[in-house]
Amino acid sequence: MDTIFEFFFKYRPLLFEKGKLAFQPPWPSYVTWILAGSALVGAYLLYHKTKAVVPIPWRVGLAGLRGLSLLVLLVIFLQPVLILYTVTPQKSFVAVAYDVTKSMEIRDGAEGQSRIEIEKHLLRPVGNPMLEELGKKFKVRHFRFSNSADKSSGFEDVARHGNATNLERTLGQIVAELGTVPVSGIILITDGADNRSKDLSGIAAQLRARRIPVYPVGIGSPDFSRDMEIARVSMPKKVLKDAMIEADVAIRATGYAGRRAKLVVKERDRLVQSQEITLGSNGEVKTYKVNFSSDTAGPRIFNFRVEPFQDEVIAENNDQDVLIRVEDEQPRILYCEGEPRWIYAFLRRAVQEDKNLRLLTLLRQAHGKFYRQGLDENSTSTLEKGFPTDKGELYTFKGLILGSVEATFFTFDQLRMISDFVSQRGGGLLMLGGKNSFAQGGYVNTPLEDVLPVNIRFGQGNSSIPPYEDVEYKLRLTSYGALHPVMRLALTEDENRKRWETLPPLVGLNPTSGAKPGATVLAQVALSGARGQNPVLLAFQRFGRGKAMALTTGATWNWRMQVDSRNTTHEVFWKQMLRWLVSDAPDPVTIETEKHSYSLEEAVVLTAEVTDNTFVHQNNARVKADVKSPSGETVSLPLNWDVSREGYYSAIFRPREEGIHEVSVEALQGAKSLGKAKANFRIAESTAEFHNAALNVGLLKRLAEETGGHYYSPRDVRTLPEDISYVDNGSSRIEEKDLWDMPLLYLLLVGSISAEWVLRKRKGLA
Amino acid sequence: MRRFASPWILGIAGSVMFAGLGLIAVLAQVPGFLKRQSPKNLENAEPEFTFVRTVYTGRGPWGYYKGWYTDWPKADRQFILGVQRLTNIRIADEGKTIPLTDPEIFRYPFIYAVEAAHMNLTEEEVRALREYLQRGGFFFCDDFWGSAEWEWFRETIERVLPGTNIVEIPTTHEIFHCYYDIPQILQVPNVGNALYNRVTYEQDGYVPHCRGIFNENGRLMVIINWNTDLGDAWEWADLPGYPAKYSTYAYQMGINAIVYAMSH
Repeated sequence: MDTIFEFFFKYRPLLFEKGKLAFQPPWPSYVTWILAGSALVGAYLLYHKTKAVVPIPWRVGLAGLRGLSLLVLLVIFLQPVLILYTVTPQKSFVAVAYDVTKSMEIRDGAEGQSRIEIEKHLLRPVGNPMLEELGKKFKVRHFRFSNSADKSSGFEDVARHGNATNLERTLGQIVAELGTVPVSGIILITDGADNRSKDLSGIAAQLRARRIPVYPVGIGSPDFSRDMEIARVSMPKKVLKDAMIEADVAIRATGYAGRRAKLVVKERDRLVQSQEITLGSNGEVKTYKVNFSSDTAGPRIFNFRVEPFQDEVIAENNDQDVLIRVEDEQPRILYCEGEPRWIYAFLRRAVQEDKNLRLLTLLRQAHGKFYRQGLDENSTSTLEKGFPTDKGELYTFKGLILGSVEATFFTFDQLRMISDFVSQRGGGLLMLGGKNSFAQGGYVNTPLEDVLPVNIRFGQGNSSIPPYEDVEYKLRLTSYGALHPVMRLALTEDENRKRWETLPPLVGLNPTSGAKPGATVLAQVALSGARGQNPVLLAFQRFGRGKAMALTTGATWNWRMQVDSRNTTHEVFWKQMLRWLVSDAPDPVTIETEKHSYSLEEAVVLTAEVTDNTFVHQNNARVKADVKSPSGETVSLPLNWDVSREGYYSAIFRPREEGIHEVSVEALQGAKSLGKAKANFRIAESTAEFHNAALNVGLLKRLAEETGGHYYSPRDVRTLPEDISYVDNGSSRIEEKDLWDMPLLYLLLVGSISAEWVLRKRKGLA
Repeated sequence: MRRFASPWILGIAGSVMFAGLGLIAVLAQVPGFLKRQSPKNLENAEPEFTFVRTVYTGRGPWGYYKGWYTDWPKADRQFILGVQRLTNIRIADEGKTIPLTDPEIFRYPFIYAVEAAHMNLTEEEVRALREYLQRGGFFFCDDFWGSAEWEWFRETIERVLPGTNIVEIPTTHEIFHCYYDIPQILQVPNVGNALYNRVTYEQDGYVPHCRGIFNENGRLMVIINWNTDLGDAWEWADLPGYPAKYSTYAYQMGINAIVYAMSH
């Protein structure tokens, strides 16, 4: 396209973009107007006064052609020129920055060569017209970059390619390095697979303000014909020992639509989980759920890998490591039951052997009389007066189960405190079905009505509330429930559904008005012939910081008594349920890193959230972190209050060695400890460069556009030195390029005269 | 003097009545035979707790007049009324009698067996009771006396739970405190002995015992009330003159056992 343009207009479009059009007439401007007017009037009069019989349309056409010929001639005589700012040779600098990150190892060149080989060819020191031309016009400075830029004397490959691409920092460093000298442009040879920049537009605006255009040269293929990539693995940073871990693995696949692949999870070399997956259509990112557990406490690294096909372009992006901290803790859960019920006994039995759950139970036996179980041996006064009346006591629990206990059992303050327990403390609430639960327990118009994931309102007044139903029914998993960690009895979805279908029916249900918008239903009542939606059996929703669950039956103990004694479904279900219920509940002091894995060049930002025992953020704490590296070296860091966020404290740690690091934090208020927390992060060679590694043409074009530069492919770099030279900076001078001999003008002139002559001939005028 | 009937007629009628009674006694040993006679509980179709008297194969009618039906149904009804009045347990108004081999039994995690030493369980019953206990059921044994009956009971329960360890339950155990505080184990005599102030023991069962079998997690799954007769105390609690201390103890033990089973 550019060649055609150049053929007609003499110069490439870029020059017209950069330059200004002007005329240099040999006479004053009024003469131009007179000549132009004379040309048009003369042409008109010529055909107006002819005596030959010529129809009017023909006359108009012939007059127009004559007028055009005269006007083109006039334009040629006006001496059009293109005024360009061009650099004075050797007065300004050009930076040539080339990418040496890992993604440049990808072999997606037209002839199978790697990106870095293409780059090497582009920057070859001998027989390189582009570099020679650049050298004539500019003082050239080379920079190689990955996460940051380093000066080099020419193209120099490095032994170890960078783990990250940071164009923002690279451009900033180049500008800083060149200081105040006139810079005509930055040639950026890269694949644009930027995975670190936070504000690329910001640096682009700065460059534009300093009139330093960026000329990206895009290396690589913008899309891979055949590739699978683990785009993302989402899973909690912390889990309880033996808890079911749910990971969402997002896989982008191109060229393998509908093909089966194997997704494998390993811990070191031990196979943890393996499942068959069906790949999505071209470029589509599909998410697959993987469930597994870890029985060893401490930091664990799980490797997620989709087994590569032989014809894949990049095999390095088929796996991803994820670090997770397996906690050997005992989160406390309070279970308050209003009357002796079988579910109370069977639930307690189901989790009593679970060392990572501590269930304290409060069974009402009469008005004001409670039977307390699961107490600490040295703390017999716990719950002595029944259900907690202050936040400090209730918030020591991470989970709360309410059985068949009517709303009037609680004071209004207690009900509001339970609501806050979920929304502010971030605890998990589970309401069990029973004669005194949900609407049947009088929870309509209480603070808990909003918290529950099911609607418990049935029209106006209490008379419209249906009673607890003694119906017999079977459970039916929803599509979401079949994959949820609470409902996982088997590894595959089909097997899981089968296991649930074989369970005996339940008896007893609290009718509700369905799940709330935003709630997730895991299981429904499989009532045959039921009209409308099947009643909700198990649902949850996020409420503030915590989550609320509703199990609208109290009969799950039938899954213990009515199935073979070797069947552990009931125990597994309740362990998974309670572990999930408290899985996100925070401690008063928490410590986190933004990611679980960093490369050596990156700074690790440690962020602590500090609250008191009622989970009110504290801004006046002294927070100290000890970071223990794999070699045993411990670095102490004070964390400073982040003034923009209540209760958040942060510090930066710069790693010096690879491996798993442990950070321990303690928050003190005076001499009083608000709490301690631990977290892990990993310093390792990253494979991030192989993810999203296709040539990012869009990003590079935008960068060029925002800085006033131009995007090039390796084929087009021939014109690059000249294009860069047309820049308006401190070392520029004005250059005029003649346009009077532009082929287009002559073609127009010859064309219009020839056309007029042919027409005149046909009408007998010549 | 007019004769109402000939001796022949009286003799035949007496023989028929005797044979009929004998037949009933035999059929009563057949699990499930009397089950249909249990009145249906219409008011509270699915209460949380139902008092279930288990029907077992006994040692036979000849020489034995005791079996699963001893004290039934009055003891059960009286006990249920007490549980309703004294606790917040939603107990069914009427109890049930369910054979050990009926799968229905797994709907009720608490079963009561009287005259526990008269169990002569079939292999099918042994397997059913073992499975019942392993799934989480609670077995309340009552009213058998002396060393001979103990031996029979022990052999029976060892068929159910081979290698089991039967232990004395100390009065510090939760079953003595989870609802009522029961300081000591009492010998509850049968109604005759209680009313006429005769001895409280039967056979050579002079000392009352409360023994138990625990599962591997420490849950008490079988409670054995030996040399004591709680069922009689429930049955005759409304009888003027029946000593209150016996019925009080019997109710307290029964209720504590239910509360324990429903909370452990």
